[in-house]
Amino acid sequence: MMQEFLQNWIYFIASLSLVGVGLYIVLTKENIFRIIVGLNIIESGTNLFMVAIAWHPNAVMPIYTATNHLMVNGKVVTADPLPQSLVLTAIVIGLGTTALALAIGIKIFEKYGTLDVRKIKEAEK
Amino acid sequence: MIIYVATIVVIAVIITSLIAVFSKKLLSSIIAMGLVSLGVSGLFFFLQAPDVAITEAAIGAGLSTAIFVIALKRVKKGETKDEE
Amino acid sequence: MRSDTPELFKKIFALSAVAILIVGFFLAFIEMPKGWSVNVNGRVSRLYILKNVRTATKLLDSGSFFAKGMKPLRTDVAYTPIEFKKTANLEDGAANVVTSIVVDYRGFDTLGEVTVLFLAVSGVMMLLFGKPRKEKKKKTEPSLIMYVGTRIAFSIIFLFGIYIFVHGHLTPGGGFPGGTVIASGILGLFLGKRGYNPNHAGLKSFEALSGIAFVIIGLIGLFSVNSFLANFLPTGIVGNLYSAGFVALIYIAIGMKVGAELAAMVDTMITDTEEEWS
Repeated sequence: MMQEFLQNWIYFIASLSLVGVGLYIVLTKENIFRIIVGLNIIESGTNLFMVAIAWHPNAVMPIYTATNHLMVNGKVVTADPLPQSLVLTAIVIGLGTTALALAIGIKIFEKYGTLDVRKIKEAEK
Repeated sequence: MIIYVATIVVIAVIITSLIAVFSKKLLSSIIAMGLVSLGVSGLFFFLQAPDVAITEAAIGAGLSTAIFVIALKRVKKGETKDEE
Repeated sequence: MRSDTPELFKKIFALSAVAILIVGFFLAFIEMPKGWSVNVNGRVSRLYILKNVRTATKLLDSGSFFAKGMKPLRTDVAYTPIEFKKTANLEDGAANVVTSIVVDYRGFDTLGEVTVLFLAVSGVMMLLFGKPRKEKKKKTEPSLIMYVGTRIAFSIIFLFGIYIFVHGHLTPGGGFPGGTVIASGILGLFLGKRGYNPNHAGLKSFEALSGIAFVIIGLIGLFSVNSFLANFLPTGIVGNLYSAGFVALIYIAIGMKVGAELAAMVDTMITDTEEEWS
């Protein structure tokens, strides 16, 4: 009973919590770098969600070895490889966009001397 | 049985992400973000996705945190001034 | 929103947004049919696994070297069990199904993704470009142990990265983590010596050559098999190192490209520059 509940829900609870925590950071913090940290946490949660919907409790890895057969009696016994391949590329894109956001943050700091979004807004006036 | 280990990892990840929210120093927030990535990569391994796990461990926990720290070094004055 | 907005209001707003997210998530999941996590066969995208493990039909012209990809579209072929290290001439032949999806079936996606990474790194370089800033006070050098140790570790890390992306079609890994591991080794070199200065133009040209190699491999598929990024090499026995056709070639190109690109990005971010224009 407990095990079944955990198998059905625990990864979704984890991904939802990560997205919620990241959203909270993005909405409340004022430092630009902290906002980028929040975006990274949201990204982790989304990737976890996409991999979790590809999984089922009796799954094996989608890799052939001498002992790991992907199909038994014509039925698939692996985790779904398609969302995994999508997430694999999404992680690398996430690194690139994070670096670009950090570079923009560094440029903002060199121009305004601060990373606080409110002070930047005041300086704009 | 491995689902209980995964549950413990999930609880650790959530606690670490809360540290990323409520820590006063920006550096500890960044380190907590790297730890969240490391825990999530462990969860990917439990979800039978070793490709994604190895990528997340190399990129999310390794290089991403390093790039954050490098960028933080370049705005060293901004960290101390803007703390809440 | 004015700048004197109360802290409390902002926090309440954020918490309510998170609460709405949670409630919507669970409402969406209540609508799911019963036993959705047990119904395995219906949820897995079987087509890719079936294609990957399906025995190839007779080639149109089995004598030609480039005839491997000229297969008719098979809608339904009976499943035959696969034996590791024995079964030959599968459609893709990679033991790692994720790799065969990333490189072969969705190779065009991967080309676009590499382009996005290239654009992001180009943006970083454009923003942080400049001449190195003169350091006013003298900073301490890392110790000799750090200097020698990072050099020794770099050779091992470099070899490990190459291993990861050469064996991408057999074991977990592939071009993206392999390239990142190499970039991490170069980051270690930066930590070992202050003012370490790799050949930036060399890194960029190496990366460009790898990208061109990716496109050229795709064009060979276009001219020999009539579709871009088609698998034009024989696929061999599943589980061998020389198998899976062009998957290993493309992953080597991706690995070198990602490694050089991320190393150049780390180089750009770690050198403290000042603006040349304003």
